[in-house]
Amino acid sequence: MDGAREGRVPLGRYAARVGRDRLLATLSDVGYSFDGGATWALEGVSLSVGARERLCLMGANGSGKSTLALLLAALRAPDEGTVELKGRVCFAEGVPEPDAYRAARRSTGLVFQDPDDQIVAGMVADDVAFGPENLALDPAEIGRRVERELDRVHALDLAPADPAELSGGQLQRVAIAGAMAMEPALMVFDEASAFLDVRGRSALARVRGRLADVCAQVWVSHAPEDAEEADRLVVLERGRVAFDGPPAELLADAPRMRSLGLEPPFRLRLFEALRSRGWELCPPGSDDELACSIARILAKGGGVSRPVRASRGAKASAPSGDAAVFEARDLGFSYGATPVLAGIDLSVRPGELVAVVGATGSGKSTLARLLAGLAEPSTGVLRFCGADLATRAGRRAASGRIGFVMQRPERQLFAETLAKDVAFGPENLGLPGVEVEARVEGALGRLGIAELADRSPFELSGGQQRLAALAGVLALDPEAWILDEPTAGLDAEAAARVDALITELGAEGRPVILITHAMERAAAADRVVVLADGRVGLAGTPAEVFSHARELEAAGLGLPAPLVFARRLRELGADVGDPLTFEALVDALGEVGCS
Amino acid sequence: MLVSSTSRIAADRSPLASLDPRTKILGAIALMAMSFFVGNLAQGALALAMVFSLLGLGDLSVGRFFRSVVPIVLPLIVVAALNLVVTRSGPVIWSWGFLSVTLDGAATALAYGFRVTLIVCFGATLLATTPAGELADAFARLLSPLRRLGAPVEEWALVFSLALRFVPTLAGEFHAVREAQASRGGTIARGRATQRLRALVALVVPVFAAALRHADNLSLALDSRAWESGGVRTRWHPLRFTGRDAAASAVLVFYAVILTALS
Repeated sequence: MDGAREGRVPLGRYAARVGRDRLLATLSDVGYSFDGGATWALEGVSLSVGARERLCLMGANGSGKSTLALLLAALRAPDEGTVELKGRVCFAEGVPEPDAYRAARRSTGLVFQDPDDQIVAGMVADDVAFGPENLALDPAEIGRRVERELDRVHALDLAPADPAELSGGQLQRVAIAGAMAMEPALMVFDEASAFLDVRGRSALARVRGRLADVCAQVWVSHAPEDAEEADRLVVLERGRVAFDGPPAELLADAPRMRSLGLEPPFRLRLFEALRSRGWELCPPGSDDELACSIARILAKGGGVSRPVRASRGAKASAPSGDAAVFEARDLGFSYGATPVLAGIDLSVRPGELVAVVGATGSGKSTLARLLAGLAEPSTGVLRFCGADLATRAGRRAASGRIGFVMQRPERQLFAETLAKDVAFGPENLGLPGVEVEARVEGALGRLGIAELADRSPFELSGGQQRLAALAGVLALDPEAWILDEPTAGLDAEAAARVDALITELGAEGRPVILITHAMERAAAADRVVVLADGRVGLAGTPAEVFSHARELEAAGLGLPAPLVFARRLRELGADVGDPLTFEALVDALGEVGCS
Repeated sequence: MLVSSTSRIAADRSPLASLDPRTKILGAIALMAMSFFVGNLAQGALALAMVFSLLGLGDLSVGRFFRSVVPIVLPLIVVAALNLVVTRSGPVIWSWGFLSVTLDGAATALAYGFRVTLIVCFGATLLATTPAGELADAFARLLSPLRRLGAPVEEWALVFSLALRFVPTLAGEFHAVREAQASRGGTIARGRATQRLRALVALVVPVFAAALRHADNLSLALDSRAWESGGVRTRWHPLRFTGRDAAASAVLVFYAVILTALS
């Protein structure tokens, strides 16, 4: 790289501080377009990554995060700008340098969202060996690396396993081992934990912690917790770098985070809510700091707390006179001889929101399929509005009346335009053309994507696709809804729209069964059902269920953040009871009575 | 530690699984070819003894093995049974209307059915004791002379093993999309022809899109793991013939000799 170009492109204060020689990746004024320059996925992006640095990359759906991750991982060349990786110029003046890219790829690892797509061998150990084999290493060295990396991700016992039998979390750890076995200087994680359960996420977070002294890391993420642990946070907004600095700076600025399409962390939202109610608090650097300040103020009598007792605030179970929409008794399902679900009792009444939680493999998705009338129960009774879902005739009678949203429902989009895709359901119901049109318009409008009606579903961002798929179900006007992880992988704005839809459906008297990994969402439900190994482990109001912290932990689940925070406050001598939701916690802390 | 864990994996493997996959492929082909020459009861008994010894050496559960073989064997047996009615030579042993079964026909049907079952069993034993990756490796090595003619044998092997790996993934997505569309009332099982066609499109397009997405991601994954078409690479477990392979070959030769002697 010649001096003139270096002078022309400012690398920012960060690069100046670190020094060029310790930089692993330097992008200068980079542009990337999927359509030959009509629109730009990345524009004028300048960014550098230093050795051992932990960088978190955030941004709304469609902001260009994944594209930038691929550029950093040396897997894509831009259309404009310069790219320097591992000290070599890979792209300059519109021309890629294949040899430099090749060298850079050999020292960069990538782990992305879908673990299935990155496992190439039929046995875990062989998969980890695949990269080292491609580096033409000595067999003895390959063996050492396979062993070392499987040990690092605590998956040595999985070495002889078939990847097809592993959970998503285990597969992601294997994928990390496979990338680390090439001894990369930089590891790129592209939303690697978006679809993992609580257990899988925490295991992945621990593994990333163990990589801290080994290589630099770039995490593409929606989770503020990830930003918190990073050394540096970069936020993209419509293909441009909108923030690049210490995470603490942005994580203390809720309005700015929201304007960038990010969800502020829990403690920041709490700080904001309390301040607007008159609490005199300083912007907290950690949850614990905020808890201590609150406890101090309460101890001085500055604030009035109204403890939430388990019985208060929680909706009592619906009156039994109300006819159940779903009624399951001793419901069971087996694949061949392997039982997946057994002894499930569940009844769901009109307007009820029932959250189903459980670790991967606990049978949640199978329960959803049974309730949606898509599979025949092996044992027990299952009725929907009187229709017997255990019989073919009953399932046919219920067809079109139960809205089923599978995991990643955007994968069911197929038509040339969004409007045609949404029309698929109503047309199958045999509705007249005018009615179909009205339903399509209504559904798209309600999800706020009416302006996309004539676009192809395949050119939308992930968040828009999710809303489009939901519109396709909404247009059926189903009497009941079953949603399997509807907000996984969505940015804050799209997730808020989905949550709003769920609340509205309940208000209309439609029961909603929500399968989720997010305990905060479960806490806002009317009832929570915990599945563990295909059986109902716990069931009841959120207050009842979340009072069993130990059982939940054994089932691979956690507690909602507000409850964790309240428990910490109690340890600090400030009893605010057991609030489960954010609103309940704020209410419990109450107004400050001082003038 | 390295030695302990890799040898632990090796120790878990049955005698058959630890053979060089090339030996197993060639052996299976030889056994399948020899099955065509099984013509009398003694030979049949010998071949059956071979099948059961292989199951033993492969540490395979007999019940599960035969359950997996039945769906493949059954249609072939039905075809073999056609011999019962089309063979006209020899004494008639049963007749009903225009159908008649002769002794020759019965013998031919029995021999056909038995041979086909043997062939499927030998093939299934190979597949049950050899991981897809090893199988692909072995084929690549066996076909490596073709490389001199410019055939991308290594690429074929990778494509073959990846195809096998993605069959369950794509099948899973196919089922998920089918159920999702069915819950929107879209099914190819009933309705007007235009509706069924539309339902078919609603099924095929997402599955096709899924295949493309997997292919796209997979190409990224291969790139990021430094896989290069035609590049120099090493093997963690290079294929190597050992004493076990020699012993297996000797057993096969012995089997061939006895089979011939019994004819």
